Amino acid sequence: MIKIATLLGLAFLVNSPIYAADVLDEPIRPITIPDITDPQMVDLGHKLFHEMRLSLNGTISCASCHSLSTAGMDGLVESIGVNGQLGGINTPTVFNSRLNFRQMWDGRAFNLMEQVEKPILNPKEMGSNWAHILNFLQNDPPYLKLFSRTFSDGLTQNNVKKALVAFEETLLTPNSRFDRYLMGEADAITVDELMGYSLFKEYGCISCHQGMAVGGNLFQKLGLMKDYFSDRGNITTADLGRFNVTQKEKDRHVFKVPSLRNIELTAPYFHDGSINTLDSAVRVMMVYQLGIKPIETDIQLIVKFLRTLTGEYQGVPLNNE
Amino acid sequence: MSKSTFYFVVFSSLFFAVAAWFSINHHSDHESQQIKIVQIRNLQNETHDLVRNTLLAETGSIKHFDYLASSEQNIHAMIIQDEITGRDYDEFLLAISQIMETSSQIRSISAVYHNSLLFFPKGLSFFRHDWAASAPSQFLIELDVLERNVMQFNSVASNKQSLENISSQIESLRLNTSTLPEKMAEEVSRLMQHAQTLVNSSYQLRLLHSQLLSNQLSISAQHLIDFYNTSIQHTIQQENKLVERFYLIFLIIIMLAVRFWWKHQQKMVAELHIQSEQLKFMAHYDELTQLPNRTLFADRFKQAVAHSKRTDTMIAICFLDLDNFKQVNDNYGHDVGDELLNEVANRIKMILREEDTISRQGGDEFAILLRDIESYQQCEITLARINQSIAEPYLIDDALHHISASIGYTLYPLDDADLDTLLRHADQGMYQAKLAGRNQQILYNATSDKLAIDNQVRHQEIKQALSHQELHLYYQPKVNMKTGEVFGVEALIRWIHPVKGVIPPLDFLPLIEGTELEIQIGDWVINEALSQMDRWQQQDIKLKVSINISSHHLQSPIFFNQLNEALERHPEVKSQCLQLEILESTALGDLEAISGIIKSCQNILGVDFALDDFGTGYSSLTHMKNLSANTIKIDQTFVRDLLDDPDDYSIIEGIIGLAKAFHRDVIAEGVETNGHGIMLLIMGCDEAQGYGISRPLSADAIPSWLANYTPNKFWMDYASRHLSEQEQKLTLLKLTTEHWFNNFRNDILSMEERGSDRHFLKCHLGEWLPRLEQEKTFDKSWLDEVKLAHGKLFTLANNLVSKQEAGDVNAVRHGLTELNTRYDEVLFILEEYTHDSGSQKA
Repeated sequence: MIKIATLLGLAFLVNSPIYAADVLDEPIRPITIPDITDPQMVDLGHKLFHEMRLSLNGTISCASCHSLSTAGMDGLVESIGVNGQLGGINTPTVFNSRLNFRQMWDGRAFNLMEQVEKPILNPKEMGSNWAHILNFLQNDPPYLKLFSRTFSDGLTQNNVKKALVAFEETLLTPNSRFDRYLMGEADAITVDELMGYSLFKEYGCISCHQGMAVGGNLFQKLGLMKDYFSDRGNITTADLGRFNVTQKEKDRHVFKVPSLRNIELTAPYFHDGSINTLDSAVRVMMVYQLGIKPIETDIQLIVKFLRTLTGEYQGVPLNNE
Repeated sequence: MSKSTFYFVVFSSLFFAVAAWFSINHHSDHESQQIKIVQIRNLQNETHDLVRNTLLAETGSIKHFDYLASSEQNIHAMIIQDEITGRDYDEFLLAISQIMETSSQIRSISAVYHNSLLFFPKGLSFFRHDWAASAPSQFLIELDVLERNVMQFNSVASNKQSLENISSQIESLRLNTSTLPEKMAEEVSRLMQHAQTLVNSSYQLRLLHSQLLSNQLSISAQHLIDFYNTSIQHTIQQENKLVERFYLIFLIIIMLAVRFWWKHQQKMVAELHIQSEQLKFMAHYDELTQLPNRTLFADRFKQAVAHSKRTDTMIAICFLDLDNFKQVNDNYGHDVGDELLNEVANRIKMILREEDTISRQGGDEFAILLRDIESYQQCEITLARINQSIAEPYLIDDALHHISASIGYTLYPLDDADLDTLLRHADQGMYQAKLAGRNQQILYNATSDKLAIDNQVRHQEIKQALSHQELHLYYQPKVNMKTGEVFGVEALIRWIHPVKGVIPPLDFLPLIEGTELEIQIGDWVINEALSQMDRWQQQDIKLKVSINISSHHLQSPIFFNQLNEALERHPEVKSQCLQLEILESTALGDLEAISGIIKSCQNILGVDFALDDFGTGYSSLTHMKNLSANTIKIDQTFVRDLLDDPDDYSIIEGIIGLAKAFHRDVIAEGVETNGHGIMLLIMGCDEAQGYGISRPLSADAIPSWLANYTPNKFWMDYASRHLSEQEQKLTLLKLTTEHWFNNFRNDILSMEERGSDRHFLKCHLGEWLPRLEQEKTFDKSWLDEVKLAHGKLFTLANNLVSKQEAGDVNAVRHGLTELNTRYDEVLFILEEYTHDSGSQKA
């Protein structure tokens, strides 16, 4: 009886076939590492990244706040710049930063090339200027030699940036347990962690935190379902987020959704560094972003899942010790 | 070496150097402009990808936004690397940055939208589970209403007004919470917040979607490319002039010495000349849409024919005409019309491949040439995509426009003719697509060409029928079987032809489906019915009148205003007394749009809706869910065989259940016998219409029919008896068995004429027995008795059929007497239970 079948709308959903047999078809994608095209430039960037003399008083390098041995950031609420000044916002990790669709919390830099000089020139951070930097490098024969060997036009402002960016682009953390799971290693994560992941999807965390970086590819307002800022109080300029860039009302309190890669190691959390533990961070997200009543057991499972996102740098699992 | 020779050599080499420098320099100048064009094209393509992937991501077809992010990075990098800066690029860069901005917003909002869409229904069902017992029932009902409204809001094109309506509804529910216990109130306010988020984000997404689709990317890119093309042309002309001047001097000074150089230059001039000719030719584009004109189209066709022969593939020649474009032009002005045409051209271009050609033929007509076609299906898919993309809404000056397109096409070399003939064929195909209801593509075919002409003749006849007042409305009464009340009539159209007599609607309405005439006739029906209601009202006859509206008519942009004006012309008639019936079985078309119209007619005009012929469509459940019709009409084909065919019984049972679940009224059509009525009453359907009550009557006959009307006692008695479930089932069994037995007796004797068809052996009782056994409504021992008796009856019936098949007529006649006895036995057992239960009650 076709009539009955159509009447009751018995349209069975047919599972769509999975084409790529090796990688699971999930909203999160494993990190892949592109080949390094110019190792010399990367080495030069590495040297510059750790170079304190780039700062005005020679006390601070990029690595001071983005230490590679502590998950690419400093674990402070706000970083400390030249002359002990506070940076005004929580320092994001430098790891996987190339995966972000914009740089900085408010996305004011379109890419790393635009971002890289901002902390160097910021008076609260490294407090430097290009005249100082070029002058210092000009008078340092080893650097001069490296620049002329790497670039046909030798030492220029643009080449300094290029070298730093080339190095930062190598700072990826592949091979996390979750990535291994995605690539077909079914027992790379435990049953609890897998349940955490399915809750992560069910609650809707995945709507923003997806893709290779598990975030980092869209803007979102903080406090979608409940006013985060009036509850926290004491609103600063940094809290205005993307509004500071566009001056548009709809961008007030809008931030780049951060990547959740290596998240267990990058406390404190959020742009204001106000939360110290992962489970409180998940709880805050549930209340303010998803508008649901947090359930403790579910939070614990989600946290377990989040811990599987910690990857490796140069073959060694990231850690904070 | 003489002095003069020396000067000559020095001078000529100097001249040589200057000429060479000049030529190289200028050459590179226009080359760099050509590179710029390529760069602009690349940037345009990359941005197109962003648009396309954003649309995919919005629908959830892509699970993550990485492709979008990397598209944005690529676009940014291309702008910087290719130095696409400066005032000339303002328009182009603005279009790109608007697309990026919109894409970024769509991402944020669709994340929010999908989350609330996930949470809201789930949260509601948890709420009902937890609080159904303690929450005030009125509040729960309001929640139900809100849920339906919110979910409908998502599925229907909604405007700002409906957003405000629903928001105030949400707000009032939120305010209501003060009377509820604290925990419940907290839960409700959470739910309300999700409801609000859901409708807000759904509305925003719709706007952003339209914004994204109406981007200025292609137009601004074309402006730039035109600019460069003109400037290249200009450079080449300049170069031509200068080079020629150099030549004159050069030739005077050295005629023979530089013969080689001269030849080389000659060749170059020739090349440049050809190039500039080409560019002039290419400037012959349609001014409005920047699409190739007819000449260029003809040229591309020639190339395509050569290509087709070489590669053994086909070419599709398509003719596209926009539906309802004239209305946009008339209602919103030519500027909006032009912009719409541009946007249509862009959308088509976005779907076509590089090797395809689209050209504007004038007005709202486009010709499309598709190359490398390997199958009819391939062409169908491409054209369907074009149709789909054109039918998406357009946002122009903050107003949304809906249009569609009709496409006709023909395939070369299957249809082997010159371009003019092919275009004419495609045009005829397009005409057929219009006739078939628009918004589709139809392959030209020579035989249907003749059919189309026949149709046109009939079309003219029908048109005359309307103007000659040969169309009439007949009215079929509808009654409530329980109360006996006549509460309404359905208006049915009849064509009373002076020669051919009465022509039923099915013989002429399908011919005009989807045409302007259909709308005119529909409009006539509305006005005629309202006038009749007015006249009846003066005779103190109050009837709810339902009329049939075609989906094409319903979707026409003027429908709402037409109806509104018609109602205003008859202020005495209450709009609540008018019901519009939409045919469920026809392809309803754009469900969203229809649902929107239905709702505005309901909410603003107060008119009722019914889904006609329900159950015969391909997606009844979807229609029930998405269309807020007040009444469901069970199709008569199900009712007619209700007593014969257990399957039809199940279908009707299903429809009634569904209607109740969705809080819709339900009425059965085609009620012909008392048995039908009783069965429907048992199943819970009280309203009916059909020959068993009255055939359709002319308007004049209605008053006297009403005066003489006596309610069907049989039904009213039955309905007033408040039977128990057991008694109802028994009635049902008796009725269907009796019906079956009578049919069987008649059918078996006429079997010879009808051939062997064992269908009439199918019996309700046999279907019901296992079901009753499971339900445990009856004693097992009694059921066993029925089963036994029924088994005997049925075996005998089977035997008789076999004998009849074998031609043993005497045996059959003899057997019929026994069959009668067996039947009486079954009936007796059924009766017995009634008496038993009756005595138990006593």
